Amino acid sequence: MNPAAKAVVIGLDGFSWSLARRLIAEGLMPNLKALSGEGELVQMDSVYPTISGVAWSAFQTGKNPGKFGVYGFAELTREMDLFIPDSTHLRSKTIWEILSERGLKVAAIGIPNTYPPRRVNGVLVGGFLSPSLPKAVRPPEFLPELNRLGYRIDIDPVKARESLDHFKVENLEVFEGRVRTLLYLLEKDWWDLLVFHFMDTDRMGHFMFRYSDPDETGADAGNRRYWRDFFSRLDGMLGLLRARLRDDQALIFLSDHGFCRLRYEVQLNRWLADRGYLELARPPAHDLDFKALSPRSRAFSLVPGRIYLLGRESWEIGRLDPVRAGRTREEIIAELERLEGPAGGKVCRKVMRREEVFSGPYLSSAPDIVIEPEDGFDFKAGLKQTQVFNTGPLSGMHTFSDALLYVRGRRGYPRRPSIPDLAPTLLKIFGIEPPPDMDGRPL
Amino acid sequence: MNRLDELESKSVYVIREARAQFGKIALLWSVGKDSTTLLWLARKAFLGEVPFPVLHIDTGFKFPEMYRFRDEFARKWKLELLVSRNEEAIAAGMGPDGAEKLACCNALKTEALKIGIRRHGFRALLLGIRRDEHGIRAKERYFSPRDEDFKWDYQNQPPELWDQYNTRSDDDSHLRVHPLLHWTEVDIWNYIKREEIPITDLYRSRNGKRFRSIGCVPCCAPVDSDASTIDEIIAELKSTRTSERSGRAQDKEAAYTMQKLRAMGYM
Repeated sequence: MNPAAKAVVIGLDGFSWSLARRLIAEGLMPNLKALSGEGELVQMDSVYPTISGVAWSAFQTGKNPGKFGVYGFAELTREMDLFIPDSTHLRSKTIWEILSERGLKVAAIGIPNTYPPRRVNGVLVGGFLSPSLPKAVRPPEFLPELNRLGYRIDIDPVKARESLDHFKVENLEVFEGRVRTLLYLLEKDWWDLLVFHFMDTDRMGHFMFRYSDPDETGADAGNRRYWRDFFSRLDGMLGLLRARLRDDQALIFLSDHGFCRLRYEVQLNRWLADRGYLELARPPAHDLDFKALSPRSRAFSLVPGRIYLLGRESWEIGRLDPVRAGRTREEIIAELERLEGPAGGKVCRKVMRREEVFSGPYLSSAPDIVIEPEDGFDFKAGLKQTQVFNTGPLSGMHTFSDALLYVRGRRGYPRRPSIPDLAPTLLKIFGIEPPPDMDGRPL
Repeated sequence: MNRLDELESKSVYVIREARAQFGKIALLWSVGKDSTTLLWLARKAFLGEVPFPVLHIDTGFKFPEMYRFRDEFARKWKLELLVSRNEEAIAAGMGPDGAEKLACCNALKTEALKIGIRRHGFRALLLGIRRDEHGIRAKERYFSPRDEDFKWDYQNQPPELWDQYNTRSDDDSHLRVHPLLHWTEVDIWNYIKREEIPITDLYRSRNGKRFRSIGCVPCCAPVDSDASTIDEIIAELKSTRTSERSGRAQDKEAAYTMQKLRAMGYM
């Protein structure tokens, strides 16, 4: 890639390569089509476990989770207390910091797992799960500007789940606030690297994916229209961007995972309990009351598709010695590979041992087994669930192998790109040699 | 003036100021040590007789000792005690069942408070919160506006420089006044000791356990402690490093984060 003076990276959370192609084919995204003529929309791999907090951590660091220690939106302590990892748990330097140290100016807006905001040479605004905008903005002097522009962190997913109509209104408001802020930053032009994240595409996936399919029977016509309207607006944003960028400004956009239709939620803790791997000492107070596990348990699961063996070194209630833990893991893997859905067909596409997926100093806190499901099966981990397979209100789920990458002016890749490749690629654009411990390689 | 006199005099000033500016005010009394100290200061500010109502938000889940204490001292101190409950939610069986704690707090505390404020038309409320209690409270001011939806608008917050308390309030909002904002947990206990303020026995050790913070029975856990006198409690606090609210079920911010993750299907 040619050296450029500046780079703009647009994060389109969960906007899959397949969906992008379909929307172009449907004629809904003419600007995306024009851009794809100036480069190439390529399919990219996400990370395991395939969830935004982990994927964008890999984006920021160029590393696999074994080197930054975050494996999901929720983790358990040794004593089975639940906690939500944030940027303080991200045990690695990020590209924001590397560029800042070189005196380059960074604007990083709305990227998951950047809260609490680290100190950068420029501005950083935390993404999903930041408790409030004032707490998410660094330096605080940027807050009045964001308020003036109507920038908001995210829709309220709790309200969205209660009412799709509420979601539809709020989602557009949030999206428009982001577009205004993006245009403002493009205009301001003080940055060298601008990374701007849109969560709204992911929200569309979770709450409305069923309307992506024109052939879906019984789909509400108004919701279908909304779906098409939203992606037309997204395309409008890309058009504004395309018109404003100069030749010396590199343009990259990417999604962190794909989306597919969710058919069944698969309650892995129920499944483990049915097979005698998980026992409760008392009725759990709620779905995530892992303190209710009996020391006789051998394994438990966390979302999405993470299984942990209760080894005595790693867990306070753990009783398994390493030999028994290893044997139990092989038994569980064999059973998972045989697991079939309610209508037949495999549930697990890949069942992986942690050392096959991760490497680095934080391997010991990784799940012992990581599962990539077949499309349609979304792994859940409630402790109060009575059935392995059930259905819920969400109609979309993440996929590993269908993320999207676009680099303007670039066609043909020597290998299949994956998210950790982005950080070293960006460093190269600025003429910086990527640190040797990055797992990704420049594209 | 010693430290306690200074703390007292500043609080008394804020209480009198709130009364003079707003007239129609109430003191929110949870029966805990802080709001009981606040009540004590209000009595001092007006020479023994509190000239405005004392509002108690009753979730129906408080400790029996708290109800007894409330009624006993409401009588002794001749308080105009108002009790506000969200009867509808209580009748519907709302309770802190599992992960629904936040919904329970919203219904039985926030909604009940709204009901009380609406019924009586209070323009300002005196609250016994302290800056050292909790992360999010560190940003509170002595006078903090809340809008119609009870949302706290950081942006619309008037600056408080020196003693220029900004006491203007829009018509549609009520103001929260925090006369104890500058006190610490140890200050409260030192003052309780000096003034011999009555507090419920829940704070004193029984069988090796005591409560550092009290509220609803299902959501409060006692801490290990042998401190059964005020002196022992003060000595214990000076040597402890765990937070006062560690016995509380879940902090609201963390609970809300969980709720968001659950709504997205990530839990």
